[in-house]
Amino acid sequence: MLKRGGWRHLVLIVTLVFALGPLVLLFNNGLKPREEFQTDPLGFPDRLAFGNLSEAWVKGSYGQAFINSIAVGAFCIVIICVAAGMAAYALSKLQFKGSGMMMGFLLFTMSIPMGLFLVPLFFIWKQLHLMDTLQGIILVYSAIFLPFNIFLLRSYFVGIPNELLDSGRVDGCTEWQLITRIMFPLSRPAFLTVALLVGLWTWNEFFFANALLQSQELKTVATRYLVFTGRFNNDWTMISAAGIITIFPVVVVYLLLQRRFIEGITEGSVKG
Amino acid sequence: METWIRNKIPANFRAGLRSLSRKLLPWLLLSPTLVLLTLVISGPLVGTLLLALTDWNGIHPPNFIGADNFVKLVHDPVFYKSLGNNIKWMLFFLIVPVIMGLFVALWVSRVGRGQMLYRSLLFMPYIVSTVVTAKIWLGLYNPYFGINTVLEKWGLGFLARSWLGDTSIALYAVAVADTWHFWGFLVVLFLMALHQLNRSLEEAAIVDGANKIRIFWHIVLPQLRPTIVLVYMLLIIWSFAAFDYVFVMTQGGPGNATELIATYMYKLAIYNQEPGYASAIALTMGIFSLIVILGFGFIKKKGWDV
Repeated sequence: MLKRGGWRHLVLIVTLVFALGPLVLLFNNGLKPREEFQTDPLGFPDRLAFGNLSEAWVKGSYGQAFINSIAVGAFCIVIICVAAGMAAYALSKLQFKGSGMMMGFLLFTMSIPMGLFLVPLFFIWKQLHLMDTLQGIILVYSAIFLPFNIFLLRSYFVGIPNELLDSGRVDGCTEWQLITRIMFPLSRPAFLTVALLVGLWTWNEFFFANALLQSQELKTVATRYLVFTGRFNNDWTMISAAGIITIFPVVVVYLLLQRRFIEGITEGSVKG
Repeated sequence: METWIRNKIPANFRAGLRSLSRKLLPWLLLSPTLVLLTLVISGPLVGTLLLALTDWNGIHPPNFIGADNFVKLVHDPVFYKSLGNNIKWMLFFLIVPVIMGLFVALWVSRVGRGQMLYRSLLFMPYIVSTVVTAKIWLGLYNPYFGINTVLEKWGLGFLARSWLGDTSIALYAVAVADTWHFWGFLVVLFLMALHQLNRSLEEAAIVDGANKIRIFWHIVLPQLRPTIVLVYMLLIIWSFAAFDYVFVMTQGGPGNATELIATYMYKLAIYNQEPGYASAIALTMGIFSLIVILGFGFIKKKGWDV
């Protein structure tokens, strides 16, 4: 029955079921009326119960968590764009002693497991009164996501011809003007990728947020979810509804801009 | 060097200043990065190196105890159990997601239209937060409404298992959840490499009457070698640092069946108040990944010829 090559689509559809099935299940469980989940856990719902979402939103105080996550993400995006942009400029367009060493250092900080700096970091954060503050978590995220984004921006900057900078120099631009007037505007797509990736990672990160932020009102969306699922241990309707709330913004942005996400993540990993 | 001496006694003070600022400029630009990374990563890393040599318990001032923590580690059965689990975890990742990713990428690359759609959809789990992925899979492994109910419905009840309760399969059950999350990343990496293949070789082989398997083995695979080596390096490093899924799904249980070095280390540091000993374990783990990185650096220098 299948045409030549048709079986290939069949195999791919099976893999799509593997990739998307669990997500479909999450949406199915979260939008199904609670009574139905108890009688028929795997079937599709007769009607969609959007009330589950608002119930989970209120019970989990997701409003506050969204504000926290957006604030943390926004600050990290600004810090990383500025710091990584400056560093990437130095490492792509300036010749200086120690640039090779610097690249090695970045690669090193990018690849060491977090167990190797965790304990003293907590200790330092306590001493600096950064424990249980949003500033504290913003600094940690900015640092751990920085090396990857420097490599990402650097690989983009390398592609911008030096002649453009030279002509700027002839026109009497200072180095700082070269950066802010030529490099950064030309690299807008790369910065957009950085912003998207940093936004994604800070939204999803749970380990440091869980360890560093103890106050309930400071929890980010991902850690809010951990607390929530701990509290509503066996209420899978609520757990799934909260899961939908947690991933919804990310999924929407991904569907709109998937190409940038995919190419950003893979390119940064290959270049690094 | 010469210019530096010339500039040291500048004929023109402004010119000297400019050359100095040119020398300082790169470091000025790198300073925010250096400050952040020193504060959060490399500074604390030095702390870990020192702590590993102490008996610090998080409360009392630490005492220097030399290599005692490492002696303790050599005799610690939980450490060996965790190390073994890390190795099993690594082998699983080097085989299952890599083969899945490679073959699916091969098939997707042969699809004309709709290729980008497949790519986007297969990559989608990668953007889902770990905490949510872990919960979805906890649901799937739930004995009352998960995979088991489906298996029973289809008359495959004999395949039903206590996925996370059985000590012999719990680790792999967690690894499957992690694989679901990230293998789309591998598909994308392999797809990128496949698009850069030299098609003329393949066409020549078809003309010469080579079959598909031989073409794959002798023409496609050798050209993918750099990507495969890169993927293996990433997977080995990630496997030794693996933490998230075990932490959320099983906390190392049942017993120590899914304990990994990173989760064991975390427990020792936070719950058992043995940060000194935990640091020694972290350091040992770090040495493993350093060896891997150096090894691959060596291979890269030799032109990926493995």
